[in-house]
Amino acid sequence: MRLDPVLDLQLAFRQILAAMASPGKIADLGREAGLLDLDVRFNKGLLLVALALLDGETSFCVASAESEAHARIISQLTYARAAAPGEADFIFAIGAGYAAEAIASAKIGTLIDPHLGATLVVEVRSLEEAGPFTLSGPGIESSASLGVGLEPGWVAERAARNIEYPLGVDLLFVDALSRLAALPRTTIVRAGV
Amino acid sequence: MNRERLYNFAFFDEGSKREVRRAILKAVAIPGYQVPFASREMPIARGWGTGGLQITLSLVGKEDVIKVIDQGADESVNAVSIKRLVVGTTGIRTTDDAREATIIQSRHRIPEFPLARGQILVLQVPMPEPLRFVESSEYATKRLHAEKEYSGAYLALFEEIMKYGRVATGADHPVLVHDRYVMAPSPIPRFDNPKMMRCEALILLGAGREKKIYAVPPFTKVASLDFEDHPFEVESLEGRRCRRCGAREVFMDEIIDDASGGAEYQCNDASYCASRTRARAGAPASGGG
Repeated sequence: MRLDPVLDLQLAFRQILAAMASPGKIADLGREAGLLDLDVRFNKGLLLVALALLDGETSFCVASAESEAHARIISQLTYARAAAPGEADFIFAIGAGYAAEAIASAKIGTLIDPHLGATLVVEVRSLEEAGPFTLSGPGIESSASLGVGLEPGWVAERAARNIEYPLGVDLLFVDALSRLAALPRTTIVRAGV
Repeated sequence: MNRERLYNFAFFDEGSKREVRRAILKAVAIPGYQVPFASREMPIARGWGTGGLQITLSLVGKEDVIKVIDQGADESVNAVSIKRLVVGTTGIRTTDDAREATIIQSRHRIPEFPLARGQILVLQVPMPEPLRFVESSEYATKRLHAEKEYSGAYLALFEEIMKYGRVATGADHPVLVHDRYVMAPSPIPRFDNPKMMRCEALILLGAGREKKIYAVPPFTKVASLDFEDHPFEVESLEGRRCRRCGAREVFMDEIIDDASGGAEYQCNDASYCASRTRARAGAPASGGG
């Protein structure tokens, strides 16, 4: 692996953190993902996020057409434990049609321990810093807009899952170019500008 | 001795960094909520900034420029020791200039120069639980936060008003973050509390001994607790002027002149004061540390 597991993953983490701290701002993980010369059959941006955040201390699950094969790869490379969707710390939704289902099944934490809400890493076709969704909340000066190349069901599913703040799920969207945008549970998403 | 070769980059092993990094992301997602994390033993004593240091070591990369301050000083023992550990294990550059730093680790002050987008302020926290004096049990305080039951925090302020006629918190005056969590802002003076309100920089707070990490994302509402008839006030600076740079409206140290017995004032933020002094002398302001 040409990726430096110390320095390149540090850069990847800082990009993820910058995205999480500024919902709607798109971070570019293309350089780091490009250094991954492993032959995995899914988006390398998602694998990069897995390498940056997962290890034997965490659990995960995969929602995809080949969930078993994908889970095996992630588990081999990170040592993270595969778990049921309702128990996983991280859920990877790979390919079209899996985001809404993954959001609906994710754990949302408890009022005592809201940080146990899952982090979802969702593959999308594209991301734009302009688009049909208007974002507001912490990290955003007044409002931001975001375009997400994803079938529309996720917005309602996310709103339903996050209805009782601080309970909820945090989303990381990764597009085909390994660009990343985050929607922490605090971000209010409205359709229309 | 080149510590870069004896230790992993940024001292920490990668597993420890990941633990802290995951906690940081959840902290940012739930502003003001204290995320528990597996705090590591550090080569400095607990209570000397181990929480802040663990955050800094998990953030830092080759391109970062770091500033470390203790109270307002870049050159106090604690700040210098932390800087030496970070620099010795990363080889990155340090600065005294708050405007130039990408990461600022601080004990008990927020710099006077306004922080900008993209910067990260790391605050060292001795006591992360603002309700600890109300309730000694950790489970009980977690329940109080869960239920947003903060009358104890208000009652403590009310008692001060009954005793002293005003709110008498010296530092660490509690704040309400994003209208949800009451948070200890770390022992910064009240003067610094308003700097947290809709701050452009990301603020990360770390308590190593208490094993908690929490955060205030940029542009987040941070309101100091108060009452309608006793609104929050910062320390009075009336009539105070820095004896070195002439600044007003910054947080000052009081210095008693031995000869006259009179009080003089000086900026607590040493690098802010130095850059103003240099500017007045016509010299180019420089960072460098």
